[in-house]
Amino acid sequence: MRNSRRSRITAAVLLVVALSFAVLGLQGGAVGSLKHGAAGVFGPVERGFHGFFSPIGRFFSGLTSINAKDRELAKLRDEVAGLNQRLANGGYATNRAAELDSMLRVAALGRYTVVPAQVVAVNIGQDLTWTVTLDAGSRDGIAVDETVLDGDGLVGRVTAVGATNCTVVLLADATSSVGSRLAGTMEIGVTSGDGLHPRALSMQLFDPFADVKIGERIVTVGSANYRPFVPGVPIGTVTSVQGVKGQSGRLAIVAPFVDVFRLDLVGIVVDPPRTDPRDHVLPTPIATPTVTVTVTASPAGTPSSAGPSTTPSATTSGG
Amino acid sequence: MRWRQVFLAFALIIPAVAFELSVLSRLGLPGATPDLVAVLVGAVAVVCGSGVGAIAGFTGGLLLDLVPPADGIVGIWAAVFTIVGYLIGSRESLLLRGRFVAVLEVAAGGLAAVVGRVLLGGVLGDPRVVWQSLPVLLVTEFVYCLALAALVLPVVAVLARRLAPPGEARSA
Repeated sequence: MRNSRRSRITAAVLLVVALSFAVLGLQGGAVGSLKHGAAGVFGPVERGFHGFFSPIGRFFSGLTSINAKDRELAKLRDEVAGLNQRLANGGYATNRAAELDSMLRVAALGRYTVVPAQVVAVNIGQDLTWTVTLDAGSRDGIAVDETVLDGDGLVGRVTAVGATNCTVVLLADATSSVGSRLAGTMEIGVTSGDGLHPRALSMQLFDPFADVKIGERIVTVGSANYRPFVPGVPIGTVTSVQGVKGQSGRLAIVAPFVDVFRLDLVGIVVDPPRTDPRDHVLPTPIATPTVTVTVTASPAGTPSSAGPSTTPSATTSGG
Repeated sequence: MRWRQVFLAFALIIPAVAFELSVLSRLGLPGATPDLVAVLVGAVAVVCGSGVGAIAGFTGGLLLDLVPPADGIVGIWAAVFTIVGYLIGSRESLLLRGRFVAVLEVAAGGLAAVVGRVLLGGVLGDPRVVWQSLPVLLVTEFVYCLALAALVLPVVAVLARRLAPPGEARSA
């Protein structure tokens, strides 16, 4: 007999233990320290696995997303074709440098101080959660409820911190919602994910009569004391509006700037801006005036605005 | 000796959790993440029986509940995988009925885990449960589990035979 009495008792005891964890919701004390322990042990393992397997993973993620978007097809084909050569040439390192660059640009424009971090593990799919692990933790000055962004815009918020890693809940997660603002009209609302459509967030507008234009961009409003969200981080663009004007519960569907499937290098905002940058950090629609031009132009124009725009860029490059 | 099988289950499942979270989930495959942990739990249960299957399921599930990107209710995966491991292990001599049946059974275990996870999450008031995502999840989970099970099951069977005498391997 395979089903001995002993194995039945074993299974029953384990089941009771697991269910009592789940039902009693022992999120604090015992479970908290268990989680902390698991983070401590598995953090370095995940980081090692990530480092070892990431070239292979990149290759596959490049292959599998070909049929996802037609307009990316040509780009991806080039990418796959040149992949081996670029790997040999250290193209990965160049990419990372470019990502870091654009992230620091967002950070400098918004006057955030960010700690750069690498995504080492992802929890997307059958767990119904949209979370990632970063390789920066309390040792790097990270704390719970800090904003996470990358070169494109808002990524999510920190929900748990270990010594050398932290957990980030992404915007697409069903539990996340962000106070957000239409960049053009300053109308406010709440943008949230539904756990199902990572490329279509929904923004509920507070004012049912608000004017919403397709293609309008939205930024974060910012939370009290800048936690969990600092103000002025780009979130995405409005792609459609559900409901008629005046109807309560009118939704703007928002395509986020950040592609959750390609997250790699991100930044955690450890020091919020002194003033709300509003929509200054949105990517420029027409790439004519670069960022450096506007910054160098300001001291000539108004000396009062020159002070804040030059000093924080020094702090961000230090941090 | 049974403890050897338990040890083997730990040695397989603990690295598999890290591998699933930091490598498999990043492949960007459509739908579910290839669920290596569920497949290993199923394979260990098929080879070693219900008791070891339940222990393997509890271990793998609890780790999935605890290890960093996890942010849900702790204990859900542990409970679901304990049941799946026990049930698969308690089927009479699956391996004797042919490898293909065993592979199917392991993949069905993966399906059952996803359904169980959503049901238990719904009952416990998990805010993340999205019923509409279930059809896609189930189809992709089944395909990935079939593929993984076909690879993993023979390896687990050979390892168990090496580590534990064949006569005792199936007495649980």
